[in-house]
Amino acid sequence: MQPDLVNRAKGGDREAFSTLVATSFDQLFRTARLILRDDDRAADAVQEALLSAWLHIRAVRDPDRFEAWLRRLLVRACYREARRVGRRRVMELQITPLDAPVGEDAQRSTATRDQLERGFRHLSAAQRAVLVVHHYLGLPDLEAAAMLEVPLGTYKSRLNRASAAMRAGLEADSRTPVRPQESIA
Amino acid sequence: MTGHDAFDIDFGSWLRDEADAPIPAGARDHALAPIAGRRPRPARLASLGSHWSANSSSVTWPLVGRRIKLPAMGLSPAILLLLLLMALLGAAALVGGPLLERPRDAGRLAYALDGEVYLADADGRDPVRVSDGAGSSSLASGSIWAPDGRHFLYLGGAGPATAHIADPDGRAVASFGNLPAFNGYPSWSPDSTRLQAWTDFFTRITIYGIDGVVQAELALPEGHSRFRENPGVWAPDGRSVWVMLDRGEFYPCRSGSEGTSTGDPSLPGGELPPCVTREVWELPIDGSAPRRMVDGPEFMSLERSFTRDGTRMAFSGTLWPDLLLYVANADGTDVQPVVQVGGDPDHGQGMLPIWSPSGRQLAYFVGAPGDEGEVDLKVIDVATGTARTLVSGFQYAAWPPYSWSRDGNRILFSKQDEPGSGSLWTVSADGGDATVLVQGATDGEWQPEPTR
Repeated sequence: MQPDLVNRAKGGDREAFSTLVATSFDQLFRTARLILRDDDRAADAVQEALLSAWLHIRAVRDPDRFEAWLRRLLVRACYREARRVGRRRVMELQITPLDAPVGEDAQRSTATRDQLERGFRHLSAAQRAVLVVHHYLGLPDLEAAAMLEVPLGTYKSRLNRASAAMRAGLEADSRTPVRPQESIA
Repeated sequence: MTGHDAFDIDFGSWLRDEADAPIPAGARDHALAPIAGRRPRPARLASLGSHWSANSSSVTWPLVGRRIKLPAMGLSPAILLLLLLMALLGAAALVGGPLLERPRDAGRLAYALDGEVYLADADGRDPVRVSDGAGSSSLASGSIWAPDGRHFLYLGGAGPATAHIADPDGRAVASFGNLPAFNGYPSWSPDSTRLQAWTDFFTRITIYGIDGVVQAELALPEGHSRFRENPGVWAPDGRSVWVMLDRGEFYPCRSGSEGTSTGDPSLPGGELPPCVTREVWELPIDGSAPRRMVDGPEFMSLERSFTRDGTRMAFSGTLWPDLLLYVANADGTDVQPVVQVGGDPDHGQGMLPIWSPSGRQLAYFVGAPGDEGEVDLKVIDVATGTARTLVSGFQYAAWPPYSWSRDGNRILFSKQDEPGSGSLWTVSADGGDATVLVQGATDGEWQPEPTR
């Protein structure tokens, strides 16, 4: 099914391309959201990746590798978005009210999650990408390195360093007073 | 890689929860909207590097790393070698440039390869590893060699990085630690005697001497923190560091005078604070009070290049959708645009101008048409405004992706060979003669001319 859609999209069939994208879109968006920590910027990065994919789909030699190729485009788009020093967007906060009192276990869980959130925000987009590819997408090392377009050794080194940076951030955070929410970098 | 300990489990679970938040309505339509009215481009040549005939570049730099196939003509190897030598000498006579003779005073090349840092001759020969062999070293991209060429900086270690200063022979000079990996962005002062780096991701810049000793810690003005990952840059007189900061609280926040109607119960009165404003501040290294600087085109990007004599600077800015390259006096006066690229939303990136050693030319890049992350590397003569493309349609593999040779005749640049790997290449500043210098290395820089 997918090879057929890819070949039709290469012929200029937008419907085929839209169908192709439909199966990947949610994961693309969620991945971009994790790397960029901002839904608006994630939306822009996904848009950029999909436009690039549409324009250059005739360069795809192996239709079975379309999704892997699309993921690489997404990573590049995320890095570009992360570099842009542009107008800051306002995000709207949506709060889901709690229906019941929060127990002690839930409070501890919330504290841990808050720490993870703050630690994750401490990282650069490149570090977040490495962790997202490993922990969220669960890609094997070779495929992860290809997605991030780095040699395997570099990928492993960056994964170690990003994990260590995350842990160090959590440790530092546990020793210092809570700061206001950090910027989205 | 870490084993599956409690951290991995908690982190993985949290990451999935974060990812699984509802996707905004209309996001898919928004993402697909731009393809309406556009068609796929014609297929390009399959392999990267087909834009130029790299195989014809073995005439000058270098023979190292290039395999030369000798034609089978029934001749003895000695005769073949002699013929080859005669052909090369003849080609040199036509080209008129340096050939097999190693350029004098070309300096050294520092590069990173597979997690190690090496020093080599400028043509890539005789590399020597200077890092510790643990496979976790890298170069501080953008500020490898000190401006005076007498030292270079590299980073080592997993997690928070240790910075190492070494001399051009690879001898260790000093080390200092705890630079946040990837985002500390250490850089040399203009007089090559100090380094600055973010030692807390959001709140602190530390100044180190060349001996690795902390000279100052620069606090940010109250209520401010670092804007995204901006590196911080030295003022041309070396007396302060310029940084881009955020003011105010962050997400969530209110914009304008109306604000949003939702409140945050954790904040006093449940009111949202104002949204942040990006500002440029000067942090004097002598510890005197930070000073807010007036925003102008020179501060649209803190990445800027100074001429070797420190009198002129170049930087890029954006007048959406156009990109502009500016030159100005080092004090920010007499700002003049010299290049404007725009009109095509595909040009999503550029321009990172870097002065030639003579101060007469600027190397810069712009997104190649189609912009699958590909760029064109260009050089412009500032006085005449004449620009030429040196390399078209390549994907860079490091940041910044290029630097000049000491004599200004060649440019070193990083290029992806295929997804997952890259190499250092050189190209003539006049265009053409692109050659692989170090296969598999992506970060690297030639040693500048030592100042006397």
